[in-house]
Amino acid sequence: MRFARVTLLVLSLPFLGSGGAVAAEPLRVCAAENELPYSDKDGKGFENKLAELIAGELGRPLENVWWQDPRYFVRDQLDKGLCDVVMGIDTGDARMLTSEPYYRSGYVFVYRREKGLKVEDFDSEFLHRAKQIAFMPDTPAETMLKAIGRYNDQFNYLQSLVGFKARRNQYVRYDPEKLVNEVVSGSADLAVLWAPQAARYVKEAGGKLEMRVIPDRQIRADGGKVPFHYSTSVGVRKDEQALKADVDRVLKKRAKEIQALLKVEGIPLLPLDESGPTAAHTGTKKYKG
Amino acid sequence: MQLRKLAVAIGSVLFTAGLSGLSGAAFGNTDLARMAEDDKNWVMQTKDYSATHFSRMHQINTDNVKYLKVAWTFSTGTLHGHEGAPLVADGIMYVHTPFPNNVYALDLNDPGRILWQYKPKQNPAARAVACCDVVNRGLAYVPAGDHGPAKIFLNQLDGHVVALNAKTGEEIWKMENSDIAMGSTLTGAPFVAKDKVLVGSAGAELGVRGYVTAYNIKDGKQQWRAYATGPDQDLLLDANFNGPNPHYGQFGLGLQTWEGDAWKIGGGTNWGWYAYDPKLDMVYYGSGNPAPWNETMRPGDNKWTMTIWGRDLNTGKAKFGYQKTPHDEWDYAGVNYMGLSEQEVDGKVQPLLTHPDRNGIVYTLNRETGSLVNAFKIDDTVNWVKKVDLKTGLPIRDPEYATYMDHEGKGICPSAMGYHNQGLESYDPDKKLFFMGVNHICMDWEPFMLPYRAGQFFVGATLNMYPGPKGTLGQVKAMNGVTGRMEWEVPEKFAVWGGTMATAGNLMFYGTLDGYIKARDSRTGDLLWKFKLPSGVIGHPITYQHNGKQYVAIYSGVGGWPGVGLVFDLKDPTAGLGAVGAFKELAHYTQMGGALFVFSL
Repeated sequence: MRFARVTLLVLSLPFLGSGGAVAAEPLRVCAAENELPYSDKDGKGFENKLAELIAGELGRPLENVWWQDPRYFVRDQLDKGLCDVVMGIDTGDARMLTSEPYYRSGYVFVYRREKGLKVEDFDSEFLHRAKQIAFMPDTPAETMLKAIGRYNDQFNYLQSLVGFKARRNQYVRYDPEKLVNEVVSGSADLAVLWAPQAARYVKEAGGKLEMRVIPDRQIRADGGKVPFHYSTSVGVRKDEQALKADVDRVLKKRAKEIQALLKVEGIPLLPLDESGPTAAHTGTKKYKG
Repeated sequence: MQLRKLAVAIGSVLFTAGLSGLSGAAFGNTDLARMAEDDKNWVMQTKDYSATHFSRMHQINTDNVKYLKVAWTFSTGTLHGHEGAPLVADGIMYVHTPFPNNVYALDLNDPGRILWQYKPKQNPAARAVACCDVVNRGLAYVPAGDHGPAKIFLNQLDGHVVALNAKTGEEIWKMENSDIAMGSTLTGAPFVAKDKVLVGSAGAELGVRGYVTAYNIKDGKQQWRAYATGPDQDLLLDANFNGPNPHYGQFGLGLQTWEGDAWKIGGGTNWGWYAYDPKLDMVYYGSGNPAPWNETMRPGDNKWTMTIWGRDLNTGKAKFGYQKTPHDEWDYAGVNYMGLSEQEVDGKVQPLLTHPDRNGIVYTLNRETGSLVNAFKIDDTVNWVKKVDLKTGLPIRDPEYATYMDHEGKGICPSAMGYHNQGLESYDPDKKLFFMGVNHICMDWEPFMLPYRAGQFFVGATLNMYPGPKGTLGQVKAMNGVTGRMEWEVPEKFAVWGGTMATAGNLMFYGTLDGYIKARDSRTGDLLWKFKLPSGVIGHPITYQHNGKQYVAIYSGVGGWPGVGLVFDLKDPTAGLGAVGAFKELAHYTQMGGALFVFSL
């Protein structure tokens, strides 16, 4: 089956690959309606801009296919052919074909700038001193807060960040802007967030905050490694080799502009060749959808 | 005026006291117990300390119930789910509402006029914190005494407990019991015994560590507080805790059955009903589900969530604790009805406690020792458990109907709503029958763990609820709590959420979600009368007497968990933890709107 499809694609490749000739064919991107700083309907997210850049280089008009629930857009939109491309995917995400990574970043500690204060890793004494810690549930941050015994006493605070909406049967959005502002206001002493999610709001705080990349050497209570650095790719459906090749070509050709875009956002960028696991290596967790 | 009425009430107490088995020595709150024995009144949500919810009145009976008609009505001015029932004390009726938890006092001589009203100013944030509609299960009352004037006790959704002057509605004291900033709310009714008012807690879903608190009725001073999880001194365990049944577990388990300090967010709140035995001076209630809901996050038995507690009223010390569902995976919060009865077991009349649990098992215990007398399925379609081993007290589970990551549970009965939820049931001591409103709802439990990015996963489960194998969403049953025998049972289109009330007129009454109040012959289950109320019922009926006439009263006002779809206009069948799907039909039958209906011949 797979082979048959690939063959078909190969046959149609010259047609698709001829760029300008099919300029009218829009590049359909699955994008979040309301997930800043990644993406929103007004195009204010940095991934909206990336999508524009890729579509532009391919000479195809950009068509956004919006989603509201990050749990299901791969299953319900990408896989069903309602869109063709997804920005900001973990390199090696098993559900898709992922492009060459276009950047690598890490989780960060965000805290109020204070003379002599340097929060380095989860062994830092500050992690035990911090009264309230803002973080996203079901992230490596949660795993490590459990490992150092700061999860249970933060549980209520975590719920309060979303007005005590239970997540059992629904998607409940934790707003990264709110989480960063918890630190600005002093409500939280520390936030642990994926840097690309936090960078914009840390920047907006105008020097009040320190943002430090967490080293990729955090160890779980049971001794296993918890990856804190991730490489990011563009995702396409598994059988869309040609489209992936197109995207890879654009990512390479426009690498400088993409780097600039991410830098303007304030995202700390790590070397792409940094050794360490990606989602491909940590993808042992089963999922359904 | 009031004095004269009281004198009359006491007169009739002397007349009926012999029936009650109340023997001199240790009454709960003597005056309150006496008032409860007088069928003119309905001074507790549970009717009496035994929670019989049974009246000896028989003016309305099987012969004439068909002539029942509306005597008067009252709008509560509030939407949302109306759980609980009004109270009647010395010719005054006390009506409560869901959030904003208003209280109205009505003079039964002239129910067209409001005597006083109390409208608390509450933090509106409480609305968002409540999981399953902004319900309130009713008020508590205590007559005048050493503690001062007669009082009405109100639990507010925002976590405050308020004592009001029953004559004037003036606030006498106010205490903060639960902090909504911690996800904790109050939805259960307070319960008065002796000089104490017992108050529970809600919000287990959000990691609240459950507790029950006794406040002094006079000034609201906290007298004791007992947690459901944690160290023994927080649990308030008696030195001989579970002495007669050491296999239930005894000491140190509130910590040992949890990983690390997970007990601190372990749930086990109690928002259901209480009962009290004045002779043993013990109070009974159930603690609810463990938290977080995701069972993989809390390995162990999670004691003492899901537990039937028997505590000394004065000290709060637990004499026994029986955990029904160790390591709950289904949200079978065991806060349900506790019905006390005296029945013969093994040739001896024993003090019993019967508890229809959300998990679909009915437990009957000796309420002095906590020893299991029987544990049987409320319906033969219960499948998560094969049976309860009476020797060990442990449920023998069927792994097919377990819920855990990587396992799609299909057709699990009961659903997370339980076969028996918050309904306040009744017991006819002559017939030795409990009358039960039953949910007949099952579910599919589909776990998901979906990757997002940067190692983030969405972990959860999608619940789909639907009518059980017998085709309808509800049942009504007459049950012997000792033998487990069902004397009769009838199906109901929707769940019977609010509970039942029984009378010596060989009648049992209840309300339905689609808005009927029904009366059945309590001997046969035959339907003798019904009346369509404007909105669905999730509260329980009561009966009282005024000027020689028997009345039946009930709230109309759909909502609560079964009505979340209606209340919040939800369409997704899996929303409201799957309740929306189960009850999507409801919107074709009823809409919100709170009212009190009073019937007489």
